[in-house]
Amino acid sequence: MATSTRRSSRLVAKAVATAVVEPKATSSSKITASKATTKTSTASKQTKSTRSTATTTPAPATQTKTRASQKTKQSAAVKTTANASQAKKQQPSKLPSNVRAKAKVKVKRDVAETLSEKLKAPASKTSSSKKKTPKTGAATKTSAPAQSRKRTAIEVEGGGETDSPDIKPKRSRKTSRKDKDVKTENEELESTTSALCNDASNTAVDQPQQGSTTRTDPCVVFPTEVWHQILSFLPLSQVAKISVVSKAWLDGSRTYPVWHIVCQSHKALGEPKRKYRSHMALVCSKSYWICDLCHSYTTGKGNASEIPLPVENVDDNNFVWLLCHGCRIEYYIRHPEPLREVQDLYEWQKNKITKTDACCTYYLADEDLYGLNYQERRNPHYRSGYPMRLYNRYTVQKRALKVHGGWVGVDAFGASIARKRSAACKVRGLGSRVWTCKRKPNSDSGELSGAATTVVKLAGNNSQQIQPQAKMQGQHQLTQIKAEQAATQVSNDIVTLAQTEVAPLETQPTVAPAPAQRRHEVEEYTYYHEYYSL
Amino acid sequence: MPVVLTSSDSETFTVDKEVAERSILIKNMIEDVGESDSPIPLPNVSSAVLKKVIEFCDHHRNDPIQVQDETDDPRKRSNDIEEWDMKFMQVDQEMLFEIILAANYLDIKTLLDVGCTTVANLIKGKTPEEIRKLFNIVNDFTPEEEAQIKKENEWAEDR
Repeated sequence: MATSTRRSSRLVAKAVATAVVEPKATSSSKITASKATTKTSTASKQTKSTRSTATTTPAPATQTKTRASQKTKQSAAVKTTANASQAKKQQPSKLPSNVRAKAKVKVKRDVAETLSEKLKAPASKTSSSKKKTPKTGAATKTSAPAQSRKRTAIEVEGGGETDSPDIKPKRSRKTSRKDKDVKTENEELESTTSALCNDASNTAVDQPQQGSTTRTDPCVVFPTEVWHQILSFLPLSQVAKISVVSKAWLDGSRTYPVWHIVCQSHKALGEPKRKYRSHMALVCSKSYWICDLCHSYTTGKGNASEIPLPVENVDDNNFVWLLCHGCRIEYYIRHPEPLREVQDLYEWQKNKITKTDACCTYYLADEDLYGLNYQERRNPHYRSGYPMRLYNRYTVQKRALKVHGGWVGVDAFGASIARKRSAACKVRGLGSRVWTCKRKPNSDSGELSGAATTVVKLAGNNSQQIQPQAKMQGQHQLTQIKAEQAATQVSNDIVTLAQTEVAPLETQPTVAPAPAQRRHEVEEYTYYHEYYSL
Repeated sequence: MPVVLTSSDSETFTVDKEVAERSILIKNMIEDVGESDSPIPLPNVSSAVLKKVIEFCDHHRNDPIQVQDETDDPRKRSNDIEEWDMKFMQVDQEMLFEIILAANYLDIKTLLDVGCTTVANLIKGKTPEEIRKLFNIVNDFTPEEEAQIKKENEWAEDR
């Protein structure tokens, strides 16, 4: 009796464990080819089992329940819940919240199903053993070659029928023990089971059992693969932007595999370390150079127009995407740009352009003009000089569009956007550094920072040594700083001036300060001059 | 040959095999089981959703079946949806999500793509606050956390 109980509980535990390990077995997307084969087999199994259950009508569970089966069921239920909780604990804590929520629901549902099956199974078994009626459909299939325990275990795992002749007689032995206790315990068990069943039935399949807000949250509702597929339709900049919506969205964005792929395919980006702790943060730090569409990394060192540049995508309701040179070329093949009409030119100049002008106006190299037709004229400056080459202006424009990837590329080359971005990127890199700041003074209690205290002390001790001219200068700058502070904008000139004024008095060496620290130093400076003027 | 599909609420739908086989799941089931009159149970799809899915499959019955390719070139990917598909997707959010989940379960790539594009278009160009409003999401970040994440994942806009 005890062994049968243990066995049944083990089987149930196995079922629960499988449910925990594979939380989205039924609902996970079938994207990979390897999954497809397993999916087929499970699907066919499912069909068969469902059909067999449809043909066989189980006897009402309440009529044929025996006490022994109830006790077995009860102990199994207790162990099942214990195992379920253990399995929950064993789940990796770093799983995204949506996955965790789904797994939770799945576990609950599976437990409920197993328990309800357990409730029904002994009843049907008892009736079948009493009546000895032959089974039909899949039931006969299972009983013939697959009467081994292994098969039974697999069936339990798969949520199929649990009928097995091994278990029947052992369970029937339990029948005549502790009637009253079992009755009450059984009532409790039924209530918990029904509660679990109701719980599982209330929540729709693949929907987390949470508040109404989560049901409308696509990041929580959808499986991770589907969510990532949705993200793949968005530009990377948008994916980075939406990560602040909620914690679930942050998880969903961070686990987006594109970040990792970008880092792997472009070794220049490196690996996430202390400064940028995730692949997402790392890619975002280099966002100036990453194409929204193909996720390529181009710094424009070879050709300044190769960097990702904003293009209004006509296919996407004029939404701006940052496209690299290759993506722009492909886009403009589908949506060709109009050529530019040039104004304020002589009639003969409208169609013709000299080689020098072509190179200067459209930022082309000599090699870029290779293969274009031209007319030769005598050099107007030096009659014996190299002959002048006249190209067709519109042909040159077409070539420029091809070389630079649209007018946006031509303009970016002219405005040296790549160089400006490079400078801005360096500033960003500096901005993200962590500055070790001095202890912040408590302004409420009138406490001074270390530097200010030093300044005050020095001013107090050596007040006679400071010349009156310096006083005047200090007062003048003080009024200037006050005006600036009133406008809540601290000018860099004043900051440097303040630093030069304060620096000789400070005992500690000065480091290039962060903006917050600068403001703090200006306050110190102000305090010093206020004190000194008094 | 007609195929009978049973939804989660036990409603049956009789469809052409050609239409039913737009779903890779059903196609595989039919292949595995062989020709049979017995209904195919779809326990994860309600009747309302299954009706919509059948409508979509019926409209696209003659389309060539897309082969799933993981190395799909993102450059060739387009965010525009056909007019009929756009009208088809003009449903409430809950139904839209149900259709996407059903498409994922039934393995209908075209429907899944259309659904995902629709959701992506809802998100596109919106600020986090607008997205929260749209999907009724509660911001569970503290202001400090939000600022930190914004700083960490800042995508340079000034380019």
